[in-house]
Amino acid sequence: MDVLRVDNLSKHYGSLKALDRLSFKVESGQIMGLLGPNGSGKTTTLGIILGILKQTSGDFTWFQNQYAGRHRMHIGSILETPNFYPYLNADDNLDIIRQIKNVDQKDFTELLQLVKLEKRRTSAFRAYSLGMKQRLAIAATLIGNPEIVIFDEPTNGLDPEGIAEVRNILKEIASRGKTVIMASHILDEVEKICSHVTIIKKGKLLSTGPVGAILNNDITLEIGSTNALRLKEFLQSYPGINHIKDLGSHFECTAEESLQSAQLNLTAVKQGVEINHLVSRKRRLEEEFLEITKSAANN
Amino acid sequence: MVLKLLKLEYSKFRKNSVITLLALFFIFFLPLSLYFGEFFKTLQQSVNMPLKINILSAPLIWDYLGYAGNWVVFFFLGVMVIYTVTIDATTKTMRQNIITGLSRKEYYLAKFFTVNVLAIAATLYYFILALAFGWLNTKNVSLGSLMDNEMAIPRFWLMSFAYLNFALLLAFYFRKPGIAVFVYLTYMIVGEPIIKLLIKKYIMENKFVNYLPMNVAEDLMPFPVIKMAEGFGRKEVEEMLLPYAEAALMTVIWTSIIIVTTYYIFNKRDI
Repeated sequence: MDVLRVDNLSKHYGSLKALDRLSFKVESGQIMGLLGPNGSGKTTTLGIILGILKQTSGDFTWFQNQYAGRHRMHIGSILETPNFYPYLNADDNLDIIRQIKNVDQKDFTELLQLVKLEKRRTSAFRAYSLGMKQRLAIAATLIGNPEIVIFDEPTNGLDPEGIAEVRNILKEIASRGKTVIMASHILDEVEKICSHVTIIKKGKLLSTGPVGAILNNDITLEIGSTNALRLKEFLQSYPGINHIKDLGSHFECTAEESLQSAQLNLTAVKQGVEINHLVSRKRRLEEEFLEITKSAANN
Repeated sequence: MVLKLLKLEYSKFRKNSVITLLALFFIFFLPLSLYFGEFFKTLQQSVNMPLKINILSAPLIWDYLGYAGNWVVFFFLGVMVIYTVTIDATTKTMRQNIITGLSRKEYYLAKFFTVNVLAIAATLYYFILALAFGWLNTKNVSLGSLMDNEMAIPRFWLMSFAYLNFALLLAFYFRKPGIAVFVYLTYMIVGEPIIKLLIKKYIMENKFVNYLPMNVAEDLMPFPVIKMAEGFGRKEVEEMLLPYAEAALMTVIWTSIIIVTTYYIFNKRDI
């Protein structure tokens, strides 16, 4: 079932096209990463589908219109920064969310335990660190057990420890079977958390689909030798190797999935090419992203 | 829905120190302003415009306290209304409220209902204070003589309602507390008198210049010394002030326009 369908959504600020006929859909149970560089239109997209920005043209549909305009009651979301009343504590702020969501839940202990804030629940929001604010925002998204949770750059500005904590919480939420939409410019984050990805740049859709489909089956090989010249000649003639990039200390090659690195190493030694560095890995989303954005720029 | 939205607003601001301070200022300044009355009394006498009667006695207390309330409501409650909207805008809790599930209409209504409650609470406080001070300062007092000027009560409410809706309009339009408060105070104190003066000088010179939005609300609770002082005749008073019925009608018209405009602005714009 489509829980969100976005059709030809555009948002113009004067001559600037923040979104340009963007279309994609999210199905129930997916963990959709909305991926794009800063300024690509991710937050604008979320702002429109969450009702705080008005689109110039196009449309979107939540839950196939089954909630007749009350769809936001079934969505938990953070947009950009955690937004709470600075003079209120965690319980008071969560109670405001509860009242808006019209739910009976009065005790937030379980939620605060999930985000590790139960010991600071009586402190005013303004006294929280950025990581604590972000964790409170994540707790707030779960009030009323919404069908969908939306996170916009959830690890932005956090220190490594904070990033790890937030990612673990997000994984925990995703494991509960909720549909998750997460906007991020951090490819690694999307790759680690999401099942699906929609890539946008300058407000335009570049690609959308399962992370596995966006990532093609090619592998990346990192190969180094004391004799770089001979190694390059060897790689150029070796079957299954497509692109070779000289990174100075070693070469980075795109190779077919079937290529066996052990066999390559053996063949190289037989031909007198001594290999001192050999790493074989699946292509990262980062590489795919750069390739997709590069080819989009060329078109 | 009304109670739900009012409860939500109460939850947001019950622990806010600025709101508490403004409410306390309102509570203290309204009765305190009566003691400035003694100052006015002395002033009037010193310029040979003796007052006909004691301004603290009934039924004049309604006019005098109403005029004091005119300023106290305008300033403290008006700024409070601006603050409740602009703090939501600056902390981005306005957008979070919408994202969480409030419709724009509900968000606006929450503020509008708050304005209603403030106007009613201010009127109730005015009523209690006027009764108390009238009782203490009137010779041969009776309930009948105390309530002789009872139409001042709905006029006070309408004036408060008009000011607070104007504050709400500016708060939704500017969204920044400093700018909204500045425009609010400047328009009332300087802006409208200048507009009035310019209209009189360059366009027309009749009583229609008194039909400007804040002027009509102000005329619901005008400066009572004008009516009390012997230096002013009926003609001068008529030129300076609108009759109550006319002021009330014009206030209702302007406030309706302001309410519709406020909702339209909030509903159309990005948050």
